[in-house]
Amino acid sequence: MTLPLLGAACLAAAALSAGRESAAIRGGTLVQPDGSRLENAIVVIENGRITAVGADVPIPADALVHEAAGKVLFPGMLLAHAQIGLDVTNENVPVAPFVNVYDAIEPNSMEWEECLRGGIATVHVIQGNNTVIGGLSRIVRPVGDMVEAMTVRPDYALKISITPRAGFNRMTQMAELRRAFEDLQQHVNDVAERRYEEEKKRKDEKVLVPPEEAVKEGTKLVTIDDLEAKWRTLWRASRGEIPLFVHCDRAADVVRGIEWLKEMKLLEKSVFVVGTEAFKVVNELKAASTGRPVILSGILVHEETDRRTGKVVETFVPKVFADAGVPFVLQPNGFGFSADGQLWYQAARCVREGVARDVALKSVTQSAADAIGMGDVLGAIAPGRWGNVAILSGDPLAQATWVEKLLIEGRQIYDRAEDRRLKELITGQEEPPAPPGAQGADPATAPGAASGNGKGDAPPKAPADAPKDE
Amino acid sequence: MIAILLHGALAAGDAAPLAQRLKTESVVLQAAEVHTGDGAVFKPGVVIVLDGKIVAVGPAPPLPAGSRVVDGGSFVLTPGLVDAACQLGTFQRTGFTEQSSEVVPQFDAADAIDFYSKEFERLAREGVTTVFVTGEAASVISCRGAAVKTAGPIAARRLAAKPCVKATIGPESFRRGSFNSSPSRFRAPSVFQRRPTTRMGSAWVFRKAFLDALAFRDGRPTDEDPAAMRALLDVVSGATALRMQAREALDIHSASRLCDEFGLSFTLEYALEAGDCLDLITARRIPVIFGPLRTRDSPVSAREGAAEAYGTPRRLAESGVSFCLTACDAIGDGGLARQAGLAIRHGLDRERALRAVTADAAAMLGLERRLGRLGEGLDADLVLWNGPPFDDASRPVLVLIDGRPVFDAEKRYSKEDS
Repeated sequence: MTLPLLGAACLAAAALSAGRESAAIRGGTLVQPDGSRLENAIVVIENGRITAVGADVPIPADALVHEAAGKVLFPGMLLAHAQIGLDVTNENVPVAPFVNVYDAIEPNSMEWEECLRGGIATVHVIQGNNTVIGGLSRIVRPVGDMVEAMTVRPDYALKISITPRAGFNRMTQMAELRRAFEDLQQHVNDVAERRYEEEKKRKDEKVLVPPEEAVKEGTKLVTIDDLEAKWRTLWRASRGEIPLFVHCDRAADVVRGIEWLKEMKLLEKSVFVVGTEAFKVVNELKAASTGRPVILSGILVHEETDRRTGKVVETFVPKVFADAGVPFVLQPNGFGFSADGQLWYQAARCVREGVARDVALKSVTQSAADAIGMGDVLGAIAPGRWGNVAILSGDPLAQATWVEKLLIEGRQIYDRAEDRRLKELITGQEEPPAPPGAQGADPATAPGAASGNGKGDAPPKAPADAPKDE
Repeated sequence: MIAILLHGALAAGDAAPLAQRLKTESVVLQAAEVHTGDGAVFKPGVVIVLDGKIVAVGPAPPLPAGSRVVDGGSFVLTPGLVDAACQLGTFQRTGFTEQSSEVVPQFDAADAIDFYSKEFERLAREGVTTVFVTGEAASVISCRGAAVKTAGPIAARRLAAKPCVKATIGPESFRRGSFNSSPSRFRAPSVFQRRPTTRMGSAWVFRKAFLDALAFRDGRPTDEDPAAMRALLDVVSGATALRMQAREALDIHSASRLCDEFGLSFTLEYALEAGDCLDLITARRIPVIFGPLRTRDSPVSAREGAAEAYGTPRRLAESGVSFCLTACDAIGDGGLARQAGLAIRHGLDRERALRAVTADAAAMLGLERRLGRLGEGLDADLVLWNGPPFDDASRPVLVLIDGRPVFDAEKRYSKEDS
């Protein structure tokens, strides 16, 4: 990051931080995740939060009004499980709960820009699946010059994989997973015993109980600061303080994952990240009922060849989940400018294959928000929710629809009319450079300035009203 | 209009049996929209099919009593899609790359087509009813392609397209996979290590082949296979069409230059960077079989036009270039319907996109009098879509080839048989 750019961001942030900030979107058809529509909608956003939605609500006099007649308003979409901005997605140590994507996220990655173009307002960046226990994840806005400015919620969840990492078998995987928690327990016991003895010493008392008793008594005294740094995250996870994103590629892995999580009493803290074959255990997933939607693979079709007949049986996975009434979240298949990297395309495919439209729409909005524990503030357009609104040129699932504008927490972060790179990509001709000082001319830099830190209600750290994952 | 056509047919001299057959044997397909593929749209419309051919197309008329009606309801009827440069259905990996020679224009792709291939089944399900199986790219001058229908009785599936030989200019002809690797100093030379190994070598093989052919014509001695030489002379005379696969801009220029040397006219195949040499293509009036637009980012082929190609179909249309779209070897997410959809998303007019995968593609094959449109006397290759054609949320629910249902998701057609 260059210094002048940083300087500009600070200036812009300072300029924006003064006073209350309100915005309104007028006209346009509001399409909610449940498929309901409201014509001529007005959405009022004050200090980053939606304060009013309706056909006939007053617009504050000082609001910056976005005219959206003839457009469609749709909630900013979410990627509930993404590796965007990470150049290497997994540590080569199988058990690495001590690492943190905070240290790896690249704010200047072009992929953030693609998020904005695709109408994505929130991204949960988490390590890849090629691991036993991965590090801490982070929920971010796809905009900002520094990770701090991007952050919606730091240190959110942990990745665990039941499916063996590349080159290992299932027994090794489970053994390593169990071993990690046993090692943690051993470490906690050692610390507990030591703490118990210290406590006795402090009170000038003699240690008269056997070690098991000392451990039991001492465990109550252990605080996170007593532990070695490398165990702290896993300790919190083992106590259910951090949600687990549990990767289970095959159907058998899902079943094993459910068993293991029950054993660890962590099932209700878990989100399943499954492969295509998981449709076979959709009822088990339903019964396990973690309260969170299941995150499906970007590949939506499961292909299985009958070895005897050579017949290929194809199953459209989201349809099975929809029929079973299990909420699910869609991920793009790959990511980038390419067509399959678009989240709405996955939802459109679901409709094509017979999934109800509202279920498909939810799977890229409300369900995705539910999966990252922010279902009450993200994923729909309603009073009290965050002002993440995409203004689209047409129906959210139609082929020719483009994101015209994207508002994140009430601020316009993206404007297609100013997206020079998109124009170049489509026309194949270089666009003339924007005049110096043009506001928001380049989505790659302008948003960084716009969502800079120091803004009262949209702080870089987790906002006060972010739901806690207790 | 339909009524007039029907009356016309009825009024003809010995029409009594025909009139009877129209009543008892024809099938009337009704739909909320009928797109003919050459620009006309009927809302609602009907297509009347008899003996595998279309006998009439038009707005919904009062139907003669006793007609068998297939009701497409609120759905949309289009011609079957045509892919003019398909590489499916040919045992690609094992039986389609000739190792004995770089120049095999005497070969016929039809001899390698597996009519039982599952790939054809999937193509048919996705609304692609005719494909032109084009020569492979690992030879510099490859075989004659073959036009086939994707389903139906095998005897009826081969079509008499204009003979067409394919040449490849660019990396595919000298570097492609393990069967076409560059010579290594660690391994003995073999047929698996093909020459040429550079763009220059590739151009030379092309040039030498035609020089040999001209020498053969003039009665000078040559070592080459006379059948190959005669096939090349057919290209020179124009009896056989020539396609040049050239994905990158520099290869498009090379193709044009090489063909100029021998006065050959040609069609560009794939031509992903056509957008970068529109001037050349427009000035020379080179027809383009364009595609496939990539649906996934690939780090390997990043320099090949990349995302810019998405806007190329619109630019080709605006430049007045004669073009059609191809999916090459993709089915499903990258298939022909998706190619048209992506072209629409990036600015190509909807009806023009339909034309680019039906009528215009058929014209590229010289089959415009046989298929590609909904018109009287043409093959009854039809697709019924459950929404706007090529939209990501819609798909074919009924596909007919020569009037026979080859895919019928909702039993719209077959329920009346049972």
